[in-house]
Amino acid sequence: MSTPTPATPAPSTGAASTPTPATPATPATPAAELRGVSQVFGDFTAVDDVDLAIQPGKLTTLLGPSGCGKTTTLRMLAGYSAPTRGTILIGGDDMTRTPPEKRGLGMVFQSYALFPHLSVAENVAYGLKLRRVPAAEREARVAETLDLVGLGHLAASKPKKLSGGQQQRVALARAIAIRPTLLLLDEPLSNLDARLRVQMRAEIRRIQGETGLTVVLVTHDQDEALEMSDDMVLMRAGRVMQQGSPQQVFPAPANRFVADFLGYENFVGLSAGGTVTVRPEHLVVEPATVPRGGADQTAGGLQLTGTVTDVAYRGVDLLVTVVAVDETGARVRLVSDVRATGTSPLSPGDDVVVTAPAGRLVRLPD
Amino acid sequence: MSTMPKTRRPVASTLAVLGYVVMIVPILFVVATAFTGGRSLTFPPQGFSLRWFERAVTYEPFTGALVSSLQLALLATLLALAVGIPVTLAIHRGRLPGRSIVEGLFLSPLIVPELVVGLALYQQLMIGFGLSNFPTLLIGHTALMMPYAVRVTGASLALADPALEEAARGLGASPVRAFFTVTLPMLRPGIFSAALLSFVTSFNNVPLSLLLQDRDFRTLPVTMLDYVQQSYDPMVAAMATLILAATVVVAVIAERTVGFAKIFGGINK
Repeated sequence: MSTPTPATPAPSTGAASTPTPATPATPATPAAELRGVSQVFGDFTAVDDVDLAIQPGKLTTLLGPSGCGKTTTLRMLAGYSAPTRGTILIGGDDMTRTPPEKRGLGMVFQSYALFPHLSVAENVAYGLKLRRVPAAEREARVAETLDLVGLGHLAASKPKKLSGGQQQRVALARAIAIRPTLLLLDEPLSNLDARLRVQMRAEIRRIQGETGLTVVLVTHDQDEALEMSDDMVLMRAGRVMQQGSPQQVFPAPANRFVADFLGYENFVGLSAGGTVTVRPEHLVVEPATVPRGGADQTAGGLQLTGTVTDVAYRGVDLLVTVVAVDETGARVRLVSDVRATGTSPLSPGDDVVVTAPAGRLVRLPD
Repeated sequence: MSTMPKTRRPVASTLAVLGYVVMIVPILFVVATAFTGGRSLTFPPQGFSLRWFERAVTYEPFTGALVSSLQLALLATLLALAVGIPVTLAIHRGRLPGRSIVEGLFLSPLIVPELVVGLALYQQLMIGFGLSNFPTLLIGHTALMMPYAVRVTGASLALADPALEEAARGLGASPVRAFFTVTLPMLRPGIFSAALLSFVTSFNNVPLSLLLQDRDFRTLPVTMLDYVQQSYDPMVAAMATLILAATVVVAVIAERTVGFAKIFGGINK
């Protein structure tokens, strides 16, 4: 992000997110595009007829559980495996059958894949040497790129002497140094410990902002995707389930899978058909004995009666699990997440009324 | 630190010491007798002299055979690597059907008795095709080295991250370029150790060389064997000592440049 625009929630109608003044209202030519791309390994379809446009200068995440086809999609984009069907355009050119060395992309591997026999600086210089960048300019660019990732002082070290986080930065620097048209990151943070992972999210966003690179990042971590993405693509079983900005996707998951993956719970069947879901923090659980004064509050909202089965104290919050029967007659398990400072007045076996306001309900197709 | 294994594992360290004694003491006897001033291979040596060394390095059958042995070992090593490295790559990186069979084939010389190999080569190549003995020996020794060339370089390759080559490709290297700038340097310790093992295997080989020798081309071990059968003087001990010294020099160089841990582990992480 060139300017740290505040995360203003875009209208959930699906309109394009508010563009920066420089870009026109119409979407720019995609930096990369997949058209009807499939990848079949034997009788397993890893990627199934995917259409995808990567917007220039943005950070796009491919998000999904393992085996959803996100890494395969990235590898096809990078040129490491050719699609069984479909077309891949990069910068408007058909590169479906172009080998990786002719695509001019930067890739950061999950294992980092640093050349162990070369120093940090030589690793970063590798792609520049192949491009016959003159030695003086090459050294300047290596130094500049290492400074960008904050590793200038380790230029002469061998990769195996570095920590995981430092190795990750070298891999990033090596990919950025060649000034790629696209920067591809395959689960870049998955080998780091939890604290470092959160730091690197901001770090990658900073680097992306400073370089203005188009970034495609593969992850299975929804928090990572929500925090880092301009555009997120949720995948499942080789198909795209939903695409949009975090502000568009998070409040309005398109289907049960997306809702589930983004941490929605409480899937309640409606007698009219379909399902509604509500996040645990928006579900209110009250003892059935309390007179229901604010009935108007639940107008169009959700109201079910049930029995508490579990109350779990988790420090900052309290999880109350309730079993109820929904409108279709099915037993549903409901979870309410309450910010709590002490103990709950509820205990297992209590009869309760569970409510959620209409504005917090998300309708899902079946 | 270095005394810890001894105190902790008395049985293992005793056995290790015993093993070294069994292997090294006979060698010391040979070395000692090489410096004798007397005329026969006896221990203890009578006096001290370097004359048997002088005799050994000027004895034409030995020097001729040494050159032959070195030629054969060097050529066979190069040939084995030239065949073995591509085969290793095909086994580990390629999409080869029946690759375990291919690997088994290249490891089989470790199992098949060398006398059988020698006899087969003698029958087929020398009698059948009328090949002279040098090319036949070269083929035989190369075949003998295949397990080292394939297995030892393969060990390095199996440990190397396949993403390294992909990373090189992504940065703009053609497949050939990626091989020479990334894969080959990763394999260097493996190749070095394969070459070392191959060279020593060829240089020391007796059964094949014995079966396939003729008057014009003889290897050093065979020549020394012949000599011992005819005369029992300390010149053989002197020659053996010289070979030992050369081997030690090679080993020290290998340890200083690459390191035994890397060479024999085939690991370069």
